Amino acid sequence: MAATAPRIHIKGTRDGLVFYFDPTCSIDELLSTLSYRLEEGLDRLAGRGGPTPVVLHFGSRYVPEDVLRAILAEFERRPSLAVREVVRDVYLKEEVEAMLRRARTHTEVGIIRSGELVESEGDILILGDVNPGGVVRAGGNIFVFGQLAGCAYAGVGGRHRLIVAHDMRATHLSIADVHAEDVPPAYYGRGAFVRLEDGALTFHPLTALRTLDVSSTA
Amino acid sequence: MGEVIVITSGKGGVGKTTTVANIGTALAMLGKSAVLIDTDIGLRNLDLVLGLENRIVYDLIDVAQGEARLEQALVRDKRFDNRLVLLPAAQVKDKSALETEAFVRIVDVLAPQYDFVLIDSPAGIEQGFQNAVAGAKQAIVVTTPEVSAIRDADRVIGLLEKRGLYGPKLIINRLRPQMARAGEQVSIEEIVQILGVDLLGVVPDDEAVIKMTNEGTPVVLEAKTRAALAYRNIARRMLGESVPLMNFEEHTGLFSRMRRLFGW
Repeated sequence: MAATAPRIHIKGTRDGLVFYFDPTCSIDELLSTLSYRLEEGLDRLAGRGGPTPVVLHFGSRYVPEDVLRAILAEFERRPSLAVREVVRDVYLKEEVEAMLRRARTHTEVGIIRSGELVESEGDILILGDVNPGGVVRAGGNIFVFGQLAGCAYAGVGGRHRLIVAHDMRATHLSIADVHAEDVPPAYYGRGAFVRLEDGALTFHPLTALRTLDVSSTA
Repeated sequence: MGEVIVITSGKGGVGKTTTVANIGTALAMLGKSAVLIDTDIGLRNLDLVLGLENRIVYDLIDVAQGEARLEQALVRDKRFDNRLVLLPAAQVKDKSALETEAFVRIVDVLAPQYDFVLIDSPAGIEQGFQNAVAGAKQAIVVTTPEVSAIRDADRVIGLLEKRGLYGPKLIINRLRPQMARAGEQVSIEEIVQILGVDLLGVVPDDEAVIKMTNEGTPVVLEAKTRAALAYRNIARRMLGESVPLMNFEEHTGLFSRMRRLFGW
């Protein structure tokens, strides 16, 4: 095994260890090499403070979900290593399409009236009002540049997102299937946004957007 | 070529039929010709409000199904030199009896002959509504200052826009200015803000409307009443005149004027 060219190239950087996986060898070879290399010498890192961050680079190899899970399981067995990032250059077409749909912002100009539904897997920007009985359903964030008096469901599919409205009077709000009770009187009819914090929806004035920690909602 | 306008509301009982009868009559009084089409098959009312019930021989369905010629079914109102004409709905059939294509054909025949074709839509958003809308080029949405009526009007405006009838005009019916001022009723401004369409007119709540409707005379003929003035203003606006909204502050009773004097 060790006689052949290395299937996995490990490089130490300031940010931790980077694993480069050979994109040409077979998956079986890759998995056995990985357990061998992890077995071989990395245990000496154990006991030196916290776990060492690890970045996995797969290059031009397409990594099916089950293989990725097997590799991640291999790392989880070693508490001295923590996988921080997985870098892949190759994705399935449908995965890319889904990513594009999620990344797209759907813009709607005009009033969303009672009985109308606006849906998108990405963000939704409404340049107008959402009247009572109108529904906005987004996989991403919802921004309403007007009065939000209808229903807004953001982060459909479980993502933590924001609902921002210039004039908040929503009848129903939810983020990632967590629902809110009535809009608190302090925020009713004002510029406000809603986010998911510790399993509950919280309301904030629009001015708080400036200091929002975006990484926790992205 | 006449203007083809559908009058609709979504919710029932907000005054579509009364509005059609009065606007039609007001247009006739202003020298225009208008044909009013009742599309509420099975629940016809427009003839009653106009006082033309006993002159009906054939109806819309008879024409649509080829059992009568269009000319035979039209009921002419003699009060206005035949400028006001009614095409009545059938009473013994139901809404499925009217086919959209046949209705659109009838409207297309009438449109060049009259200045206005006003289509009285049935309540609801089902087939009857779809038929009524199919023939129209413009729309008027009637609502009352009640949350349920406003909600339905909102829905109907959305449906109209989906069918290409953009920018419908709004008539707010049965406004009680005192209640709106006291914040007990949704105000004109709020309704216009929610619905986001142009206001064509506001008709105050007036007992004269009930009385005259029951007599089969459109209230617009009774010049003294405030509702009549409102309907005439609406008709004038439809003819392109710029008429300001009537001032609801005026003509309030002696009691409320006294009350304002004493400031409470």
